[in-house]
Amino acid sequence: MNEPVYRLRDVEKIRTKGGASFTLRVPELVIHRGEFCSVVGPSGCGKSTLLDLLALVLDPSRSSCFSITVAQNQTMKEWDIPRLSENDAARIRRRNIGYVLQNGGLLPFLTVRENIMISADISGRPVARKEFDTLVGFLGLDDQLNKKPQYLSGGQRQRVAVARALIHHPAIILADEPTAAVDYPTALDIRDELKHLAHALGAAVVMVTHDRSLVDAISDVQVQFEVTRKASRETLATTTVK
Amino acid sequence: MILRLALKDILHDWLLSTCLVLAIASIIAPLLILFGLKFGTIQTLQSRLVQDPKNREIRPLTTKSFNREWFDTLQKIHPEISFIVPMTRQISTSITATNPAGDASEQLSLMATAAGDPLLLENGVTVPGHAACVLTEPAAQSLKVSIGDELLFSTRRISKGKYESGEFSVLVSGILEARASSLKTAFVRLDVIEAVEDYKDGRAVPAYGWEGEMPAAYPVFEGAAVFTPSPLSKLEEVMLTNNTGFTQVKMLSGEQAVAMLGYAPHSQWTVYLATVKQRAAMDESIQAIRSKLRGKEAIVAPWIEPLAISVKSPLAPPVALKLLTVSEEITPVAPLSLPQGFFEGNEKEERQTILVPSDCALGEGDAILSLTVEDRELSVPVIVVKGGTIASLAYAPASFAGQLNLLRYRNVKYDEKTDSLLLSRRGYAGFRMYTATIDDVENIQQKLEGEGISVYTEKERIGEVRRLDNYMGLIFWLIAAVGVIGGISALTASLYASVERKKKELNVLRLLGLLKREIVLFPVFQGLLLSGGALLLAGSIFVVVSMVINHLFSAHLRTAESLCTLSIGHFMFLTAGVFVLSVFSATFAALQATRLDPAEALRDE
Repeated sequence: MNEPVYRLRDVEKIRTKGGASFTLRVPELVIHRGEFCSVVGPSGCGKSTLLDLLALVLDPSRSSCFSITVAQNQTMKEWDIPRLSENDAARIRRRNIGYVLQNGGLLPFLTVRENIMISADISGRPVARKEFDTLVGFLGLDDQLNKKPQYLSGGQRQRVAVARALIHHPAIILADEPTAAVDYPTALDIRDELKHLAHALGAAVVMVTHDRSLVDAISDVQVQFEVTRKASRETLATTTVK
Repeated sequence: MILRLALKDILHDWLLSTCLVLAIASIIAPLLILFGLKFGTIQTLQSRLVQDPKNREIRPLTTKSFNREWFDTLQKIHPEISFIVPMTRQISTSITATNPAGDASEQLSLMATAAGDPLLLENGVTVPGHAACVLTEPAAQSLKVSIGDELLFSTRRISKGKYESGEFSVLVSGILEARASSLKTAFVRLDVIEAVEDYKDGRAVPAYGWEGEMPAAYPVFEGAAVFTPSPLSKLEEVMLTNNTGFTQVKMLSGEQAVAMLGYAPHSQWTVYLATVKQRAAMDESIQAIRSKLRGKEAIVAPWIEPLAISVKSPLAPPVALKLLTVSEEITPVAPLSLPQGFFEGNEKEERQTILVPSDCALGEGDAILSLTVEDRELSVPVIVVKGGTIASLAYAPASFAGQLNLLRYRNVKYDEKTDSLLLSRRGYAGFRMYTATIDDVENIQQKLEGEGISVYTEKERIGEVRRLDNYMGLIFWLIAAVGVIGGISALTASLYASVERKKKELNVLRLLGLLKREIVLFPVFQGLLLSGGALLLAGSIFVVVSMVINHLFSAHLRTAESLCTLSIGHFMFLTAGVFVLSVFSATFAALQATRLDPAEALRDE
């Protein structure tokens, strides 16, 4: 297999809300380049928390190893995530991570074209016209480019979000329940498109979903959760990798 | 890029953006108008009411004699006196005015005025020139005259048991509105009132062709040159200062004599110079010395401290000279070659002659002699004769030189009609004074009363007006403060709310990898764009409203005055203030909105 992108060992994140505490523990997780990693589990098990950790927007409470390896000036560099400053995290994120949000997370004031191009703009990566056309053509968005997101269907929005997450050729694509708001056939389509495009780019995909049947067949790695209630107000979720 | 995104967002949400712009504009516009009124002419109108010359007037309650110097020094010591004009005795200011048609005649009181008179100027009337007057509205009404009409003024006196009247005509150059004065008054230049007073006192006023006594200038001297065939004893020297008006006697050597007198006496004469201190000596003092030295074959001649004069022949630049006196008596003493008739110029219609050095650049014949002492000036036509031997010394007969010398002590003027030097008046019975502001009145009143001059001021009125002004000021600033505070909170709240609404978008941008400062810039740009638009709108509203206000009240304004106005500086200050506030509130709101983890913020919603 390829070189690892994420390496996690004994990473712990404790969140407290309203007096209840929730602890996510990742004993061991390695995600390699080009892998399709699915994160499955019922709601409230810590899927999103794990994704946020991987997206560098959430700092772990504790970790013995938590690193991300991305290309910098043609060489690979491994970063110790807990030590990253907020701005460094943002810089790594803009160049190396594509994020597909649950409801698309499109900017309502931009057209579809602008929404897709914004991540390229932010990352500073030039996008050839042909490249763009191929991507939107593959996702079937050719006719929607000048529309505002509010005029799109849920599936189209989700596809725009996929395009936005891919346009700047990130090494990592994080997808947070990208199929939650669409019907099953569309979900399958989107899943396949995501998988196919990421594979073409050689990017690692981490896809969070509550629907195991959607990803079972295609996952290289699957993260599941074992949830135990230690006390009435204390929950521990430990990941297991399959 | 951030600016472009911010602008796109505003345009996308154009309805809400418009609401925000309208809201901010509606906060700013009334404030602009309020301040526009404050800084516009309403302030001027208000201060015109507060600082009405009527409130700043100070008049003496009693009649005293104030000489010119008193007026000059008073104004020098107290710069807060903005205007002062002397007044004659009350009794001599009454005059009968008759209109051109001759069908209305009215007793008017004359009031002296001069350049800078605030009572006239601040009521929009120019100060009258020569042979012109400004009438108060009641006076103009009862005389049925308007600006440009000619009035006949007449004044009466009793001379040798008979009534006489002196008349002169005066142009009405302005009419003072009734609010400035309700009395029937004519404002004229001081010399007109002086002429009327002189006439009533029986003196001649050549300027108006009125006959009477002439107040001829009398010669005064600072000393007497005494020439004796043999030296005087100490006792005799002392006698010269005993009851003669002179205080000091000094024997002069030949050289000193030349320096002091301007000529060298024959060596057989002993020369003494008796001089005065402070007060000048008159002819009587010279006579007193003569009588003291009777039988001693002494020659006594008047002496003046060399007087700086300037003589100008036609077509030649003026020449500065020192004037000394010579008199007929000294002929045996000093060999001075004087032209024929040098001492006879005193007769009427005979110009006074002065002797100037032969080598000076003046032509013989008619010339103008002028001299200035302190602020008193005098110019007299003279006949120049050349023949002096000492450079820059001029000589005049003692009587003429003495008259000129009087300028050192009193005001002397040359009267063309009689070709003679006349005394100007010595003092004035009263005055009319204005301080620069109403706040100075009390101080000046105390000063004058300290000098023993009781004066009338509008003290009570000043107190009331000042209180009212304070209340008005307080109310304005209260309204302004409430407005400004309200404006600040509304602006902050509007921008804060608009950022709060954008929370989701801001966090999406963050997740896409924008740095925190770039995220903050987004609402900051939006705030600036929105408040900039609001400023433009408020500015336009202000311009329109101020034009309406100025148009409505144009009748009450002078040209170049506007009731409601703001300067470019005010606008710049306002713009800066609003922008700083926008940046501040947008930054604050943006930091608040991005405090949470971006993903969490997105899911919360």
